[in-house]
Amino acid sequence: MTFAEHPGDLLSAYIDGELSAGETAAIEGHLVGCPACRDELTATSWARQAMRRLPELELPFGVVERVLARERAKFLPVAWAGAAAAAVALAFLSLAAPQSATPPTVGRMVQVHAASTGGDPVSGLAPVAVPASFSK
Amino acid sequence: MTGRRTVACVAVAAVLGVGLCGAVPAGADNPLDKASQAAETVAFSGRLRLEWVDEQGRHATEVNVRSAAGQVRIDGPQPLVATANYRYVLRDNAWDLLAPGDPSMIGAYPPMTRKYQIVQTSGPNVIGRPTTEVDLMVGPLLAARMYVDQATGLLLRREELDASGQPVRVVSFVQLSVGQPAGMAAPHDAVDQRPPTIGVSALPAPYHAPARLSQGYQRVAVLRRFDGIEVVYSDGLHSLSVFERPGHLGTTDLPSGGSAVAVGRWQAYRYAWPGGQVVVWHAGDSSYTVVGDAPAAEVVSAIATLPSGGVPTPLQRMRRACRRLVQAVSGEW
Repeated sequence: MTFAEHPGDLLSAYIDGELSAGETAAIEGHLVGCPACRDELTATSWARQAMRRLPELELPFGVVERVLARERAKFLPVAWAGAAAAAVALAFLSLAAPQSATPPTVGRMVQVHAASTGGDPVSGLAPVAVPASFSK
Repeated sequence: MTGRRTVACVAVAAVLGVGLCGAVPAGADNPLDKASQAAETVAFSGRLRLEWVDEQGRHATEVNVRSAAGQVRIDGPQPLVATANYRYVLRDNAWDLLAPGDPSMIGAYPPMTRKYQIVQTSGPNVIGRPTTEVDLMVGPLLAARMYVDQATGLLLRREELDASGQPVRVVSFVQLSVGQPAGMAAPHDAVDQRPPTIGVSALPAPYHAPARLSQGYQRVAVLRRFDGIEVVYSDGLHSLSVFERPGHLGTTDLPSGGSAVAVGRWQAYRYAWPGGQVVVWHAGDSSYTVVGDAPAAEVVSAIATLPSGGVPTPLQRMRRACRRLVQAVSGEW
């Protein structure tokens, strides 16, 4: 696996160690010859480390619940509309996505071909049935 | 492609083409025209030998055959009956339709003379019977040789040749008795189970059905088959079915023994069957299976001109999905 273009968001996954061995090797190969991606990797790594160095703050008890209750009341119609839009998008995507692993059923198609075309349009020559075995 | 599980499929290499006389050039002196008429009217019984060549070498098989009143029975490993409209196969002591559909769904075949030049000479004896030899030429190349019985008009032997002039498939009577055969129990014609034909203008995306392919193939029908379409082509002598279905191939479901071939810019797998060739591949978000009875090089060359889209963008997928949804709701497809 190689990257013809910059790996982009995959750099972030690379820093987090979330990539496969092949993807990791491909990114490392790309980094050797791409100063722009090396700079981006350095900047992203620095940002990650800076974030991790920030101290954790303890929220006062009940703040989260109060904020959520207020926002839920405000955004309930928007949430419903968002959910509906997501459902429609999901339906479209599931219809549009290619179905995988269509069985070729080669033997069946040979039969259909023979049935629909008659096999020998020349003359009504000589009918022949033979076994055709396809193994898999 | 790694397993060895055998899927037994009975296939028909060539069945009687009664009702397809349109493929033969008109003319009272045309021996192929005579052969077509004889196949419908002459009762006979006999034994046929089929020889074919593929990558594994030369193969041969023989079957008994009987014909009367336009109905032919072939007693191969699985008995088969061909009537004018249907092909039946004997399963569990009952006649089943080989597949829904029949040659009457197919439009007019192109005249054979559009591609082939027909040369007629006096032929040798075949099983002791004098014949007329009919050579089908494509330019300087001999594509097929046929030997027509001078007495009955029946076609006694047919040889398909490759581009180097070598026979790749030979069907020949090795024994023939003219006269009413015994034991022609006829299955009744089934109810109409023909698949719907589709007008090309109503063909939804992403299906393709070009009017012509290379090697002189012309579209004669577009049928709805399985969860996709079957587009039938003919060059007047050979026929070609292009099955297009949505979805990708599961390579583990492919039969073993295929050889890799290029179809345009896509990699395909080709399989020889006793009646011809099968080529399987996927392109974009469709999978294709082509079944043809011409020699391998001709089949591959003909389908190389099939259009096949690239990988669709998400927007194209969305648009196609919307169109399919509308067509499904409106009942167009």
